[in-house]
Amino acid sequence: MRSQPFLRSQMLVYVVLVLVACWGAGMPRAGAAGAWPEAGTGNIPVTVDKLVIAFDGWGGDVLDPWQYLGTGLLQSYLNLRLMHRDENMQVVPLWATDWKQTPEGVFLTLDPKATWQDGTPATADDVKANIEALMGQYAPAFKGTPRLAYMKKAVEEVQVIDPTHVFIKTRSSDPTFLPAIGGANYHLVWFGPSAYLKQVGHEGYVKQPLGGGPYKIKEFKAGDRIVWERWEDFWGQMPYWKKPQHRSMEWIQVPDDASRFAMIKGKQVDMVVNIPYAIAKALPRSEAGQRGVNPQKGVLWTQTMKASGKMQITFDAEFVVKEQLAGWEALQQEPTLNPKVREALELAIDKRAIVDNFHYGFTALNQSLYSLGSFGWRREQGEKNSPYDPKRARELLREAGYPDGFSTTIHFGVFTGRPGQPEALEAIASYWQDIGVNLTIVQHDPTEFYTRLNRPDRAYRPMTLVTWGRQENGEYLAEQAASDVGGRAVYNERTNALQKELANTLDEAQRLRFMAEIEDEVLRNHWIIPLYDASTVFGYTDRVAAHPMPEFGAHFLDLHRIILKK
Amino acid sequence: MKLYMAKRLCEGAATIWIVTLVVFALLRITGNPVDFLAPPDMPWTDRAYLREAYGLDKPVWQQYLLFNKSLIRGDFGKSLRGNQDAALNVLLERVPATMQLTAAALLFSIVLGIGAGVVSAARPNSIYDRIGKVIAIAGQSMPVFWVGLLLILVFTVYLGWLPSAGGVDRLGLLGLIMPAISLGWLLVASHMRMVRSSVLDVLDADYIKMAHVKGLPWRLVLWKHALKNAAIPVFTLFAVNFAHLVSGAVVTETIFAWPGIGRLLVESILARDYAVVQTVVFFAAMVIVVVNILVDLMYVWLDPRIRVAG
Repeated sequence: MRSQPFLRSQMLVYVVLVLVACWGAGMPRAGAAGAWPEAGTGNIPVTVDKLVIAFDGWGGDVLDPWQYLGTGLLQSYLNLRLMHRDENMQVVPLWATDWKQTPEGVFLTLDPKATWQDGTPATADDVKANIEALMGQYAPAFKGTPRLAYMKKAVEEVQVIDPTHVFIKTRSSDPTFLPAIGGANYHLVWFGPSAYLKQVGHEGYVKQPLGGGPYKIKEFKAGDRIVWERWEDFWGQMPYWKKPQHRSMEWIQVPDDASRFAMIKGKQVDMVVNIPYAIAKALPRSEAGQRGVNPQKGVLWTQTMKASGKMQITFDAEFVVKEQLAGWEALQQEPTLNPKVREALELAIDKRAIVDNFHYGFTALNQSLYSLGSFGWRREQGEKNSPYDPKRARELLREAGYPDGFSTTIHFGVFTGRPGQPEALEAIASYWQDIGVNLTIVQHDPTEFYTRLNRPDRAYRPMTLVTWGRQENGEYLAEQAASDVGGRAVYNERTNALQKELANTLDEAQRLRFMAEIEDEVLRNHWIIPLYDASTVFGYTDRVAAHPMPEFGAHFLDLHRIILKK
Repeated sequence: MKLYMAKRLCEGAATIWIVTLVVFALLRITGNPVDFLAPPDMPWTDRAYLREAYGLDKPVWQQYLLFNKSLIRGDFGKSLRGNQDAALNVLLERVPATMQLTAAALLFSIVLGIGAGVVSAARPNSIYDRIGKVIAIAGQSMPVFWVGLLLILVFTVYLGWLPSAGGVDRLGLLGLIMPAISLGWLLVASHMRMVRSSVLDVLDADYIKMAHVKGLPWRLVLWKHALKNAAIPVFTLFAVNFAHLVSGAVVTETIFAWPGIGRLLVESILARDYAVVQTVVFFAAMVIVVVNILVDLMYVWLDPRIRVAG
């Protein structure tokens, strides 16, 4: 009899606990990835008619996967990649269901369900033919691809084992090879229907493109507009790679920032790519709740693709002198040759203020050479406190023999999708003014800048504000930044030796160690001032319920995953 | 007349050739297209391969000779961007959109310019004249991009009446309204001022006074007799403006994402797509030269008193 009141109170406690647990589970958590709204559930229809997106630009307009140049976002929707990154940044299968890299080469297992849009199966023969095509075979009018020389150098031969298994024999155990051909890290290689490409050639293919991705091309006007049509028989069945909810998708290129924003304000489009930070700051951010899900706080909302570009100041003078490049004599008296001066210049910049005030928190402070969250990035280095100490900076300048400061020049070029550079440079000029350094900022045409920035020119002296597109494999950045084979290299014998070791090992732990040592050496010499990682802001109308995509990225937009409410 | 025409055609051909030479030289000065097309991290070996593949490794004089040889055959080369289509096809794909925009802008500016100009001239220093002057000053002092953004703000963002980006192929005629007003607004001012001064000159003529004295209605005197005789300088301005609009709608086409040749030209210059830039400039120069020749010939038709000196 005495147990009954106990049971009642116990039950009450249980009920309260269960209610609290249920309530807690339903609460949105900052940045947490929960269940995505799915087509066909709740108020969301299984199929909707059209998705319209305004871009500032989508890179290359080349349909032929064997003859593209530059970056080719559109290829990601028309043709195939081997791998992908899901919204948790995990490398996941796309066409390849399994992969393994050994010192001898790369072994791939392909999805047996994969087909091209003409119904023919996508097989190991296609992998072989595509790799060979990218090495310059088959197409009589072949003009090359960005990876032509690299592929020729890296690949010895491609061996077809059976229709779903292929081995790509490499000449060395280069850890960047699989990322380069896989497609989960950067836009580099797409695979097209080889039999069809050989049959119709370049001219025939661009007239009637045919791929293996989730869309077919319905209308195409280069540099202006693309209308995609859902491929009803698309073979992908993964959550991140399946038939889209929308029957068609229209891309419009609207280069002007204000016009693009007006389009989304006027609800002429469902999504815009690249909203300037100054405008985006006033819009609700989905990152406050579940990333990529409409926070339902108004008719417009945003999602930020973090760390799409990496910003750093590179001191070139020392290497121009070291390599005795054209005009090196004129740099003999250059103040930035002195490491104390470089250290002073870094100490004089309040990086946190730039990120928080000039970029409204859309960029991320990153003290590493490598992209935020990428392979090789160390949290303890990337998130290290950036000392802002103008007093110590002045002392260092005095010790270096420049008590009254000096005048210098920085060069830069603005690259699409990496906003905020001019604002950052204005801030840096102001900080350096405080320690007596007068900075002249020279902006260049981005093409010219990025070309002449590299060796053998190193045309912009004594320093540059450099940006890198996001690289998931930091080994590539290490190679480019700190070895004598790199285009923008700042290196010494030690970093050079470390990079050579790095380029020849597949052991992950060793690679991480080499990369960390390279980074420490470069930063110890103050050859580079890491500043921040830029982001790209996407805007959506309230018609968009969700847009699942990776938190970090340079290019992959996962537009096929967008879920519309009506 | 035949001799005059032949002379004008030769002058036109020489002008076009000089324009192509200048464009060829300027483009080569700005740099190499491979540097733009290739990603920043593309290895030097691949860049060298591409330069060779596109014939850009040859000396400039050789490239120029090849360019002229192709031009004579009507071959403008292939676009270096996109799908490497023939540059002429790339241009022709964009011409209809530019023609639509130009025609609509010109129509808007002619209707408003003539209307305001004639009314201003008919009643000098009246309230109508003052309104006309305000229109002229506003038109000439407001930059095209500003008018465009203002229209977008009002009619797209606030009122939601008009779409703001894309061509007729995407938006239909509704999409033409704001770009045409934005582009034509600048011309309203010049058309209005030219019509006003021409009509004012004509209104002082004896035959107008005679028509008036004979009891013809003022409206008829103004719109039929005065305007017709004031038409020659006005017609010249219309024609020249049309030719300039065809090649010069760059800002409007960028703001309204209009798929015309102005935007194509900017994109191609930035990408150093030599073949397309040369083709667009060739086309624009051709339009200006041809329109000017036609205007000269039309004078004779418009005013039989004009005779051409051989």
